[in-house]
Parts: sequence; structure tokens; C-alpha cells
Amino acid sequence: MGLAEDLAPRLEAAVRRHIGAPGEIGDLRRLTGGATKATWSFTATIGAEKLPLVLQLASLRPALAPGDPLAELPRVVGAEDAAMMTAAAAAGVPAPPVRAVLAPEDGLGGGCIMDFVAGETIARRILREPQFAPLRQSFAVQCGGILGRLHRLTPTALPFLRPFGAAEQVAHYCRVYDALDHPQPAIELGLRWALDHLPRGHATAVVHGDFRLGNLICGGDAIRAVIDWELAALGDPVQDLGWLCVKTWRFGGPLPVGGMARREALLAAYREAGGAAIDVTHLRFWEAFGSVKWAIMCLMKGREHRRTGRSTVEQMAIGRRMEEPLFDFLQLLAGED
Amino acid sequence: MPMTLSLAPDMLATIRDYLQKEILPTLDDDKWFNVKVAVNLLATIERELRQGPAADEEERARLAALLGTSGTLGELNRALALAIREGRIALDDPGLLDHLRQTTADALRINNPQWLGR
Repeated sequence: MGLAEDLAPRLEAAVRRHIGAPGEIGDLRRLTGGATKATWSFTATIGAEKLPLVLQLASLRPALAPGDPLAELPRVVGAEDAAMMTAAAAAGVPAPPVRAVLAPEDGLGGGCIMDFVAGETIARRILREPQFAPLRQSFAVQCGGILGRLHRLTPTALPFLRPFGAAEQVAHYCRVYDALDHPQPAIELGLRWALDHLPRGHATAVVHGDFRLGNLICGGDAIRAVIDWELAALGDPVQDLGWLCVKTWRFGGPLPVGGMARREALLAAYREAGGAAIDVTHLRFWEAFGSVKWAIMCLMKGREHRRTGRSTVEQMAIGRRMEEPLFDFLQLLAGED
Repeated sequence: MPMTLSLAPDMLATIRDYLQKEILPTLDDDKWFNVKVAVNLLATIERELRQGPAADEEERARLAALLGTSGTLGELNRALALAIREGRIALDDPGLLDHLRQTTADALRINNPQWLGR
């Protein structure tokens, strides 16, 4: 189902069923279409009100051979994604309010309907445009607070989350890299470094898994919603803070935390929100391994057409980005920021 | 090939320039984004055609010296990857790190030269 015309009548029926009448749909527009999900914005008339909403559908994944390591990554989609966002919101993390979880009789597959959260996700604008200056000032404090609260969530309330700690994660990306059979000495070095420097006995918490600019809907002075929870898992909480500081996710900004702030400000705000004290070496592990991981993801994108037989301009471009994080990783090894 | 033909990198530069100046401003949203990315990729191909052969040859020579053996670029990279995995070369070997820094920097000079200036 790729066309808005097929989608609209089913969506309208789902809105009527779950949210209210008359449920008339307008302005249906595709926002993103990723490998694991697609999102659409639309308005629905409920009573006399016109609500701005978002539909998130778990899309069908390309068929992968059984045992393919690419199929192993824990993915939180559909009703689980909705439960994750609801639990996060209850813990004080800004997440899109979930209005309805789709049911089989909706005929739309897995997914949910959320309130539309207005704001900016494009990093380049958040980092440079004047209206985001107040946000840039408090960005590290806000991120520290959000992650501190998220990491205190009780995991037992989210039974579908899979354990994905440091050792499991490094092992996973080793298998993904091996399956691609495209030997890269710099990646090999990165993986061996990660195995040698694994944080042992780390705490386990509910982690977002992809906490960075691009997945934060921002207003002029506040982060309004954390989106894209599909990589949520039970992991090392420091992972979320390190990933936010990976050079790729600084988008050219001069400072480590999202390109906007110093690590100290993030760590202090994290503690204040109930997070643990974090050792800088531990944080650096996740920054360095984050670069290696992104390099493997680029390699995966660059080889995707060989596996799926389909190629896009964007895929090819991401494939050509592999050396960016590898260069950064080597800089980190050499002691540079 | 006849010497009179336009050189591939020059043709790419002309095509890129046309897309960038004449086509891109007429597009929106999705199409704008994809043509913009395509224009960047054409610039990458152009740089690869001009710089790739020398960079590959230098990489191959460095690999051969590091491994003390000869082979194609693909064979030598596979051999080095395996040596790293099996611990036959130390992670902090200065020759290894120099080689990898040089190789990733040369690739960035083709794929995204701006990254080096950051």
C-alpha cells in the first residue's frame, strides 16, 4: 500500500473507530518512508474540531534470508512502539501523544495514530537559524534531563524490549559487517578496539537507541518530542549520551553534544535528573564505537542494492559516507576531540 | 578512444553544472532533495576519475609495504583486515594507523573533501 488513495478510506474508518466521528480525513501527506516504517501527516475532523495527527505504519521489511544478521536487530514497531512512547511520556520524556493503536480490523497493518507535534527536525536549521538560539543555549541541559528520566523507567513495564547491552551490540555489528563480506581494515580495527574496550558490568536501562538531532522535534526554546523509538532496547544507558556526541550527529557544529554544547553540561544535567555519574572513558567508548557502528551502517546502505536489487540515489550517497566516521574514529584514537 | 572526445570528468562537470543551475531551482521537496544528492554524487565521480587512480596506487603500495607481500588492492585489503582480526598486527602499530589515516583521508578527498576541514 503505497498510495494515499488506498490509504485514506481505511484511515478514515480507523479514526472513526478509535478516535471519534465523523473522522473525515484531510491533507494526507507522506512524511517519511523508511525501511521499517512510514509516517503520514493528516487532519481528522472529530466533532467540530479539526485535529492535526500523524499515522505511523510498520512497513513490510524486505525479505531477508533466515539467519541473516541484518534481521536480528531489535525493532520496536506497531503496538510496541506506541506502548514505548506512552511509557516514555508518563516518565516525563517529551514523546508524541499516542491517540490510537491500530487493530487488525483496520486493515492497515501494525501502527498507531499520534498527535502531530509541530517543530523542526532538520539539524542544519536547528544549529544555525536565529529562532533556535534559546534552544541551543539549553540543549545539553534538556537532553540530560530527558535521558535521566528515560533511564529511570521500570523495564518490567515494557516486556517486549530486548537486551542489547554493549557486548551484544558489538557482537551484533561484527556479524552484520561479516555478512557484508567487504573487508575494510579501518572497520576491522574499530571492531577489535571495541571488543578490547567493552564497558564491563554496565547498568541496564531502557535506552532510546537513536537519540540524536534528526530524531528530536524542536521548538525555538524546547525539545518538544523525541521520535523514532524503533531501536529502543534494554541497554547501557551511557549509549544514548555517547551517540548524541558522535561527530556525525554534530552536523558540523563545533561542540560535542549535538554540535551545540559541552559534555560536562550534559553529564551534570543527567545526574540532576536522577541519572548515574558517568565516567568520561565510558562516554568516549560509546562515541568511538558509535562512529564504527555508523561506518558499518553506511557500508550496509552502500551494498544494499546488491542484496535487494533496488537502489536509490540516497542509498548510494550514504554508502559514500563510510569514511567520515572512520576518519573520526581514527582521530579519537589519536586523542583528538 | 579518439582523442577528440570530451574527457569524462569534463563531461560530468558540465552535466552537473547544468543540473545544478537549470534544473534544481525548478524542483521542490523530494525531487529537489534527490537531484541535489545526485549533483553531489556527480561531483564525487568527477573527483574519483581525476584522483582515484593515483590514490589507489599509493594505497596498494602502502599495503604491500605494511604486509610485506604483493597483490591487488582488494587482496591486500582483505589480507590486512584478516591480520587485524587475528591479532597479527597491533592496534597501535604506527605504520597501520598512518596507513589507515592516509587511506580514509584520500577517500574523503574524493567523497567529501569538506569533512577533512572540520
